[in-house]
Amino acid sequence: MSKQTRNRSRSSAEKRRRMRIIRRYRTAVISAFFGVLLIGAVIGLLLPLRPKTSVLEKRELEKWPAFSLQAIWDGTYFSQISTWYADTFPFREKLISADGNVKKLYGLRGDQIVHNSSKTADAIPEDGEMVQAETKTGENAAAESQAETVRETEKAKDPNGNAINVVPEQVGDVYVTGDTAFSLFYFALEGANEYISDIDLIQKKLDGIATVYDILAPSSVGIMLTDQAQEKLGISSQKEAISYAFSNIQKLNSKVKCVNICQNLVDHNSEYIYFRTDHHWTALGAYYAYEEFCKAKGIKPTPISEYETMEFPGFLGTLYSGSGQAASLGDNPDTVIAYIPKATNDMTYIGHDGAEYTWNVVEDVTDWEANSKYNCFIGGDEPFSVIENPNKTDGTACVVVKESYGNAFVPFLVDNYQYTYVVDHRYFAIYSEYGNDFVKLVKDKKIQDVILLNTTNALCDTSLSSTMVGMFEK
Amino acid sequence: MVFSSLFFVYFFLALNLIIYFKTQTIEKKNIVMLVFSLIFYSWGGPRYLFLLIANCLIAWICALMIEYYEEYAKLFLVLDIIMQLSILAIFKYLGFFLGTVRFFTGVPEIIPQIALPIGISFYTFQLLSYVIDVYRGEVQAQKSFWIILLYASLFHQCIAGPIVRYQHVERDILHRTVKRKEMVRGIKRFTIGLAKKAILANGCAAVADTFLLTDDLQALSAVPAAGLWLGMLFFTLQIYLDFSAYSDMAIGMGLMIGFHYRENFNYPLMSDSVTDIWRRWHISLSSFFRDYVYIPLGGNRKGQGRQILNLFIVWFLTGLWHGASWNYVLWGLWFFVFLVLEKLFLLEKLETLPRAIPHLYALVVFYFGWVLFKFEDIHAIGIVLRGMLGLGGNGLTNMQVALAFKNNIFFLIFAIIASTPLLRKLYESAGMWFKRRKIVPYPIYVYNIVCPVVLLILATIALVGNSYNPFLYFQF
Repeated sequence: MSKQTRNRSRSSAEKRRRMRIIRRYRTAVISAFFGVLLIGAVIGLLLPLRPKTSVLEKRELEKWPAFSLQAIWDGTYFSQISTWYADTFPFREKLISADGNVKKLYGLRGDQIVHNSSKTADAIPEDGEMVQAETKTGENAAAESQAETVRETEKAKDPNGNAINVVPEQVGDVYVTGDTAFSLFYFALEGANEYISDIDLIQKKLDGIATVYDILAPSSVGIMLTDQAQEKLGISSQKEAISYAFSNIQKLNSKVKCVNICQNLVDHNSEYIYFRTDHHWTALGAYYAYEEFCKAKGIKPTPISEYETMEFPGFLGTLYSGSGQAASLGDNPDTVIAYIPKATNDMTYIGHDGAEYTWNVVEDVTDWEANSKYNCFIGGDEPFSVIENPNKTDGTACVVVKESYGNAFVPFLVDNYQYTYVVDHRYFAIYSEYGNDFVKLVKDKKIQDVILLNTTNALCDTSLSSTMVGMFEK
Repeated sequence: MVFSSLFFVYFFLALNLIIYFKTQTIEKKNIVMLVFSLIFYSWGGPRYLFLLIANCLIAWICALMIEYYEEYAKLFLVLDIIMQLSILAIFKYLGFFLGTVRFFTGVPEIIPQIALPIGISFYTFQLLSYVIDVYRGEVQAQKSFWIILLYASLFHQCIAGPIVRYQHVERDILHRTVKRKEMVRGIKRFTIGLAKKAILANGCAAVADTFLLTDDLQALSAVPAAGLWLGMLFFTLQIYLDFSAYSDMAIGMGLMIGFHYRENFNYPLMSDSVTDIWRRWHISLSSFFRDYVYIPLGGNRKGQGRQILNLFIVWFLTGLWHGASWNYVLWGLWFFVFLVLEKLFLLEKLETLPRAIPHLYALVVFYFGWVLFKFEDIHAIGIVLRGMLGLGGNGLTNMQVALAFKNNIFFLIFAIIASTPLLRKLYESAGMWFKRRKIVPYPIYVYNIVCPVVLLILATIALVGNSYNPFLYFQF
């Protein structure tokens, strides 16, 4: 064999070896990709693995759509299937927290604002005069005729557009600094004006029947941060928003007793009056509101030291999930401290199923999920509840018309009345006894004091006012 | 259905590929693709499927007629163009046209609200190019209607491009074979596109939307200058990453089963002039206008005055194609102005300058173009431009802007790198390094095996993350 042919056969052997490697390499690429794709496809088909609710997000996930020819024709049927498929994908919570971990790499995330809404603030009229909101322009110009490439983006972004149909409110923008999160407050003139006229209307419906107290609870960002810090964040001042609402309510109707609790909260803002990982106030924060209420009513508040307390550590609330599970919050959970009424810890409530339950004013939630510890107060958000004080026989009765901020507040009233009733205005309609007729309730139960307690969210859009005023439309 | 959804990737595409590779002959494979494409198209409601089929019928018949009755070829061509464009005009532009008429005359009072049939701008252009190419004798008319329907509806490119020409894919439709080498490339290309869309484009959109509020002018005018600049930067990146990701996915899926679509983007952010931008941006669209409008109008062969008029027509139409609103027309004409300047003298000047200067100039033109593109409301454009200069009483910056910048700084840097050929260059020079030394490039092989899988998993995580939607109050 000559040198040349030997070289040639060696190089062709080398070539064959290379080709074999390349073939194996290509097989590896193809099988790795199709392997993962098929595993994903199979997991996607394992229906029992699909979650139905998200504990973390506090919502029901998208359901398989109801069949109708109309829905097929207009495309909603199929697009809802895609949404269902994505929204209830197996291992959802694990994948979401993995997503959070990836996003941590996006930048320096010590202080951050997590945007969950596209809300922005309206200016609060300075002289306190009631100003009509301008209709916002440009709305129709929005999505409809966008360029097609952009349209696809928009669609992909909001797969849950139609998932929710009840009153719940989306977590707003969350500002995280250190171990504390704040829900950002954006005043909306239209919402505030609706609130003002609704409170006036509610008092008129109850005129001569009961006294109407109105409390607006500011969220932590308006109390814990200085005015300058709030301004830097580009948010609205809740103090100004509340005084805009109250001054105009008083102008319309002097019979409403507006209870402004801002100053008392600010005076105590070095104490633990708001949760750091949740948008609610603590029971201590609610106590300072109770003090102001007592002042307005002309009674003496029970000193805080006289209550027995229960503590539930390990609370990670809505702002924790709203921040995309910021680690600085997860590592520093809140503790819920509850004050048990002196007179009794027993109550009954009408549940969302319409049935009556006996419960505790302060329930032991030690073993409950980390995100549901705030539910220790009066059983959470129920349509209707009653607490009877066994130490009183004077027939005094109040009703608190509230959303979830009211839950921590109600226990303090128990000692001051024979009957403390609670109505969650978002769900009262469920209680068939009254068919959403609140005035009938007040008359039947001979209630003297109606206490309206909402967060300043009631000034940000019209949804809270409208469920509240809905109880007076009979 | 969109490519960047879990349902598409793990159900539709997976099923499509399984059935496709189980099918033996090309005829049956084409039936599989057609059925999947029609289902894909009908996903948003089957209403407009009939329109798509009608469009294909028109193109199919006209093309056959052009070939059969040679002496009347022109007639059938004109007939086809009129019919196709009328359908496009009615479904895409009627509302816009009547709205403009009403603005000037006050009539008509009621403007019909016609929902835009998905992908109509893309498939109309594809079918037009087919019929014109038949007329020009560049391709033979296709006898089978189903092939034409498959060509126009093929889910890879039907709703978001690239605008594929029949003459470029005819061979693939009729005789394609899958090469493993190409499949490997296709897999990589598809996963890059998917990750680009799910992670980068969606991430950019989230930041851009924080500052560029399209539906609330009052709020928009309060966004500080730095917020608008930052928002526009993210929007510029978003629109490139988003659009090119769709083309990547289309090209990738095509390669997996033997289709060869042409490149649609070539790193437009690397352009040195506006002329260059349009050689690199949405190439299938700009070449469509070049071949079917600009050159037939005479191009640059009928004197400078006529050339400028031709350019005006092309860029007016290019703008209008992007959406039925005047801002898109303005966007097209914005480029027209610079293109004319470049043709007249600027291009020569630019070539004498150090490369950084023309590059910067092109980027600035590109960047401000997106202000016109983003806002359909002309008032909003005014607010943003004034606001960017800090003339709207909106302040220079605030904490939200500073935090958005800080929170996304690494993401921004990566998104910019991903918009340049840097990573590809690195990959290629690594390949050259091994080739020159005649070593088997094992590290590159490993990279190519791992990369698609990692990208697919990351994209999946991001897509699930997109559906994260926490609520404050909720009762189970």
